[in-house]
Amino acid sequence: MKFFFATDVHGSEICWKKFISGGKFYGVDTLILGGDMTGKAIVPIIAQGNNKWKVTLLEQEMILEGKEAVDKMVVTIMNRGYYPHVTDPDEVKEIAETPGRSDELFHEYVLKTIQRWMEYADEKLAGTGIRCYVCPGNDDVFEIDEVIAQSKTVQLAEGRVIWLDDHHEMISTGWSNPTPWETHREEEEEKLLQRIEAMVAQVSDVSNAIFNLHAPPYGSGLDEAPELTKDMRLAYAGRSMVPVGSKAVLRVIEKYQPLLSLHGHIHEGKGTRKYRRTLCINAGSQYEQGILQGVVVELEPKKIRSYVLTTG
Amino acid sequence: MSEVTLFVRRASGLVRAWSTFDAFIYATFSINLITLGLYIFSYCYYFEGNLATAVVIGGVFTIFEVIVYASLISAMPRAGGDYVWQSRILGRGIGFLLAVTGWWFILWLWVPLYGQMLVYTTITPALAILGAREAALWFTNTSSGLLVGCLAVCLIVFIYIAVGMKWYARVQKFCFFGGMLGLLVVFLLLLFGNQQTFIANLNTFAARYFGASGQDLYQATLAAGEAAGTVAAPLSNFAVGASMALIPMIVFFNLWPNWGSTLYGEVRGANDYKRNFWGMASAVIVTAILALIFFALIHKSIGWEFYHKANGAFWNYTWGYTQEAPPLPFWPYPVLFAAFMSQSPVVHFVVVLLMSLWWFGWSGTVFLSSTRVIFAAAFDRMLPEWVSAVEPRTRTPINALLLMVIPSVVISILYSFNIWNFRSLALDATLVIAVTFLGTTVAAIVLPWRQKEIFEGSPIAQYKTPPALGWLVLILYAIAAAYLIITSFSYMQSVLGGLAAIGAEAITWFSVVIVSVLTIVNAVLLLWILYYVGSRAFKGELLPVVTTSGLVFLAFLDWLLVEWFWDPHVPPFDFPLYAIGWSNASSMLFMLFNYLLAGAIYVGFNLYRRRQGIDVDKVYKEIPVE
Repeated sequence: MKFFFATDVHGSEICWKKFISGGKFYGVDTLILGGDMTGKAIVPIIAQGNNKWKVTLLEQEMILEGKEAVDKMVVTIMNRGYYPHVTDPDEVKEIAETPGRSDELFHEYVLKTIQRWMEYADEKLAGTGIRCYVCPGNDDVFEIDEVIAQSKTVQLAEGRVIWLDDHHEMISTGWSNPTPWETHREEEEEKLLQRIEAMVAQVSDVSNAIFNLHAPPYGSGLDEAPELTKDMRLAYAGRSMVPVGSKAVLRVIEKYQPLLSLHGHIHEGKGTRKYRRTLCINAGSQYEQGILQGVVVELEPKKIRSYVLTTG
Repeated sequence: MSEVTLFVRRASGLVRAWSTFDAFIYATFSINLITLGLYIFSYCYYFEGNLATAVVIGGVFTIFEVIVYASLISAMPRAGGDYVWQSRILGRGIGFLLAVTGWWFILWLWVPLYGQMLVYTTITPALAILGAREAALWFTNTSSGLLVGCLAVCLIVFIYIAVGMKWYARVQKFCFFGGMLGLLVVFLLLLFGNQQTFIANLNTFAARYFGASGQDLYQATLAAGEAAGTVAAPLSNFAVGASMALIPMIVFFNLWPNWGSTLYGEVRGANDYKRNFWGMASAVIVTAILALIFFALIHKSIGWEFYHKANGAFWNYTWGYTQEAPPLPFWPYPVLFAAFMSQSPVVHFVVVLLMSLWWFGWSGTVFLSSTRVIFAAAFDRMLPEWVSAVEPRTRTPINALLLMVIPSVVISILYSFNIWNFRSLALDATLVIAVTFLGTTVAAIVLPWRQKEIFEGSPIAQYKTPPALGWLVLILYAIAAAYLIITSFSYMQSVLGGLAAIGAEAITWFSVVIVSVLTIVNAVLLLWILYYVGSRAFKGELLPVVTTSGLVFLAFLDWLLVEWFWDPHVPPFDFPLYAIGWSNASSMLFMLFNYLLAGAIYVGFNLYRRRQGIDVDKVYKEIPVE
């Protein structure tokens, strides 16, 4: 069997579409998306009157003239992984000044976007025979699980043991070890270990299994992120890299030595690492540029036949 | 309250901006005035130009390089630099060939150069001041001494990589402040010193530390420098025309502000672009200013003529043009000369020690970027999996390091013992990387059209060149392209016409044919770029700043390559200025070997992976969306 794994699309419309299209493009029978599907920011496109709108994207203020320009900007913003919100100055003020209002808006957009993505997947994957699994990550709110569960073609992988073919089982979790941002699906290493162990206990042949774990193993080099200062700046101009992966993930990989482990979470950590017989892969992410990083893996009954990291 | 322009939620990776000053520190180390700068300045005694003029003009062109790289980093951050930019924009084969040669293979040659600088700036002066005269001179004046210096480079860099970027970044920052303190002391010593003091103390301490003999070493050095053919212009004479010939030399030091440029985390926008630009640009500007101050102070307290003639005397002997040893048996290190303004050996030692931090803070750069490229190529399955293996206990990329260290030791031996004339290849180390930068610059020029969506979704999309300026740049580029094509073809004609008359060997003919083919390819490239950008300008498109800056930098790089390869400044075939072009068979064969090796790896692994059923062609292909 042959699958395509990508991760950390963070709301990028184009990356999701590329992910779904990746099935045919790479000639695979299964698509697997690691965690972090949802965007991090809302960009207001603010009406100024006289058929003009103002938007500040990437710290650059622009005046858009006409609906066509607004529509084009909406696409640009969505492809970058942000949620465009066409609005007026009064609503912007209201969102900014009302506690919790921006969170509500985020929920609205997150759910609407995931709903749209599922519809897109259903349309494109129906009848192709390509299976698709997604596993929300630490940055994703819990509510999206329900939306994914409604899809006809996309299956939720979180916490499940899934048979990819007759020989390979896959366990998945988007939970991570604690981050400085206190995100939605993170927990102490001990609890994360229990979570993974509970899944492993259900695997019949762990040596032939695939561990789809959002957080990369600690100290693997797949988890090197820029060191942060106390005020959350990049220390040493981003040159100082420190390991931030999960010790629980490292422990289960070393203990069970599965065939393959798939990771994301640390966008800079693209690469591979071998722990004894286990090949660990972090596909990395460049979602802001609309580039979908991933890996195409071909499995044989007892081994990995081939793999290649892609920048699609 | 200002209007809100962005709402963000709780999510990982959202960080605040990094410090531009920190970025400046790392860029300043990359264009290292004390190591790279002083080293290559010392070569320039036989040029009639003025170093100060060359540093300023070269620096201006380097600013365009900074714009090109800051733009690419903002448009495609976290991408892996030249390798991925070129692979994505121009094609995988070009990306591999140029990145592997420029960021990996040619770094093997940098190791002996780093070693020579370590010996000249640190080991020899420090040992001499400590009283170990024989050992000090052994390092500078013997091949074995130089080789030990090269091995020390491998060891030190190995340690840096083993401790990781976390600690190396800290070491660099410490070295920056220590090195700057040392430079301040040097400047103060030169400012408050004078030539009389220098001459008296030079006579005393050169004899005491290095055993230099003679009543008046200053005059003796001037005479030896004169005999060596020193012709450098006085500092007060701008000598703009003659100084242009110096630029292909001094880019050895100032072509690298982009060396450590990185951008991690979320790109929040235009300010990240500006921070990146200013981090690198301020390094170019500040380093140029420091160089000019240094030159002025050398002129005031040591003597500009003496400085050049001391270099002439030293290199003329070291390169074997004369059997007569120079009066000063050590490399004319301006820092040591400045220290001689004081009579205290303690001051001498402290100054040398502080200034050695410029070397220690910088030296890790020789392998750090290479290991990244090796890893990137391995992840693309263009190298075996084992090269990206990491030693579990120390997390050291041991195999990638060995792929750097082992060939570096071989090259160090060739260089140290000057086998096959390897000591003449110093500028190859710059040329091969300049070719890589040329590939990236072409990628930057065409980025807005070849990767339209990436460009338009990036902070640099808004930076457009005003129409009049855009046309001016395009016209200037067309003139430059025409000049480069006509000039390189006339060089080609003159060399081909003159080769028979000098009874050139087959290897020389071969080199000339290679350079001629490159000249034709180059002409096609220059014209294609002109057509590509020009046709868009004629359609009324505003040219992005990344494109216009790329055109300027491309013309500059191309001019450097024409000068290096054809080396045409003197009546042909007797004394090439840069000594790495067609007339130096070792240089040509060495570079050819690098590119052939890269090509062989690329073709070999492509075939091998295909046999394994891996469709490597799709590695950088954009996934089409239905």
